[in-house]
Amino acid sequence: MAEHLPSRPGYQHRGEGRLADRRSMAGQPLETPSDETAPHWRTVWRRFRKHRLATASLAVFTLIALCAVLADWVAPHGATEQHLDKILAPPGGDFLLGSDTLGRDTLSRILYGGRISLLVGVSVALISGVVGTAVGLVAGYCRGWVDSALMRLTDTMLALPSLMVVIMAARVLGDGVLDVVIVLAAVSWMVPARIVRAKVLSLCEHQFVEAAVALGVPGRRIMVRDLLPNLVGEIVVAVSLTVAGAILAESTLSFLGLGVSPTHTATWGNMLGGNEGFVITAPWLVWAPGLAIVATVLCVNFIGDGLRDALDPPRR
Amino acid sequence: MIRYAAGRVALTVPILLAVSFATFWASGEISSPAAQLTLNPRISPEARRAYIESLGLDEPFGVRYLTWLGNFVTGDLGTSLVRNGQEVWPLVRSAMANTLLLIAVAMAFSLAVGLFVGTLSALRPGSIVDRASTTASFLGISIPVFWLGLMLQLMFGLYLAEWLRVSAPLLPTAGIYSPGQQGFDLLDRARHLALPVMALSLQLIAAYSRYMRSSMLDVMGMDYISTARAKGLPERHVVVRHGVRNALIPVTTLAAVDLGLLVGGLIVTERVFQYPGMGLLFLDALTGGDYPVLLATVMIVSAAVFLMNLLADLLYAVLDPRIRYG
Repeated sequence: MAEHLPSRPGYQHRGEGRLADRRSMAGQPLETPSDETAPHWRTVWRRFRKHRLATASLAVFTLIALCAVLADWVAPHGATEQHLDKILAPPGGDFLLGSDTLGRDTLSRILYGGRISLLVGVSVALISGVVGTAVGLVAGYCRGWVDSALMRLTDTMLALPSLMVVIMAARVLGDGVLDVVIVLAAVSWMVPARIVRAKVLSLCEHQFVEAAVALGVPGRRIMVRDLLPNLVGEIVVAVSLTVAGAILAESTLSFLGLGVSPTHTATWGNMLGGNEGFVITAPWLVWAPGLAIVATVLCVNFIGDGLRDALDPPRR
Repeated sequence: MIRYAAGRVALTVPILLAVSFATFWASGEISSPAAQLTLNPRISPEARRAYIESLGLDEPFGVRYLTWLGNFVTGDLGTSLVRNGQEVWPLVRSAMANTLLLIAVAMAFSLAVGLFVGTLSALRPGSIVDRASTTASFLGISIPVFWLGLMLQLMFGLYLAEWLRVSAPLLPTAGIYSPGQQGFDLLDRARHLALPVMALSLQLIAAYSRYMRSSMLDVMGMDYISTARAKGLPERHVVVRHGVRNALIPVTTLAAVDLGLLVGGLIVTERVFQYPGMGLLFLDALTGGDYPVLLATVMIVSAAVFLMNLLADLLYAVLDPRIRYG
């Protein structure tokens, strides 16, 4: 991250710092410095907090995630608990956000459904982050035909109409949570891959990489030990924005009836898909889960924006 | 430049072949038209076998794929399996016309709004306009298109009429014609387009205004802008002729990259508003197991997206003489 902090005297580039260690300990086994990133992350956190919307979003997102995770204690009713005497009850009273056609509490289902929606969003982002980083790292470091083959693949995947692909793949695979995660991860790794590759290309111009190569450090070690730590900022931003995209995509798939099946578990998307017909008679069944999606995705997007500003402060 | 274009076009062919193979395989996995016959006890095994043979499903996979590919390339898209043996091409043609109309109107609307808002916020970075439009565009990319569509239906189909004490809904919420409509009526058609266009446009406006803002910020920091100002040109002239015109160049490619987004939005929008376009045709074919229609829609949409991407890249080189493709 050193090139983002040109005016910070005494700040050492990770790789260069390590190279200095190598020089001083020539011939001896290399020690890995353990907490080199600590001051850096403190700087990031300080800058992140200046982005008020992002900080507020982080608080709201944490609250939403906590409520979803602790749904067993927080939710007023069970996710599948039926009150057949109170079918389609409007918001208020016992059911804060109303009840659905089977007499289930909407608020509780939103909380339990949030677990799945958030789980899908986070796991898609993590998987695609790992795959994208690997592809971008290898392409950017190896160059030559490996690079052009991988980037051709990436560009082609990017040019495909992704929702169409996702819909077909979801139909082929099935309607479980894992199926949806696999399908969405398969079309989400390209953007992280391109971002990582671009950063690797510019990092490879630095002397610490040249020096490592000259010292005969094997390529795999250079990628993991020298390049990867310098990519953390880019990866964090790309992954956080993928979470938002994946939550949206899951809700769209489930709305179309191709995502997580309502017979397995509630998600924000399939709550909407199943209740689309009640948009006039029981509008709370449509706006409540939708607002949960919008609030969460908006928070994640603001957090991603805040992280980007904090990790790569704009020059203007 | 011509060599570059030829290379790109040549690369598109194997990619589309791969797409067609994957789609063909997937459509076989999704549903077999004979599967429904197996479930129906009234159909004898002989009749079922005859049906399978009439569709050519007894042939090995490779033969079926090559037969379909040959027919497809020569313009024979086959007949629909569920729509009473209707030919696929007329179905696809009318769906394409509807979709292109929707895209054209939505693109024109969102480009106009997005570019204007983006320019305004770039001219005064940090101002109220800038901050409001930034926040609004975050909202724009965070709202699922289908939910926005449902909310628009609720708003214009129900609530607004209630609040304004009008008996009829303000705008129709589904289809492209009013019931009983005879012939072509421009106003009726426009009223049916209004809500789908709104649903589709929000995320496009958000994206375009972001692109325009950052592109315009880059351009306005260039030396030639200072030169234009130093020459004493009126500010309006500097902004429009020197600023906006140059800022538009990168926006064209970025807009093309979002074609995938547009297709995704289209599928969902057409589904919510029951708008008879390619997206709805695709979804109906998928759920109905109508694989000739499914294959045709996927292939045509993918080819169109690839071609538009290519066109955008070439347009970029034409618009900006500094770009040279090797």
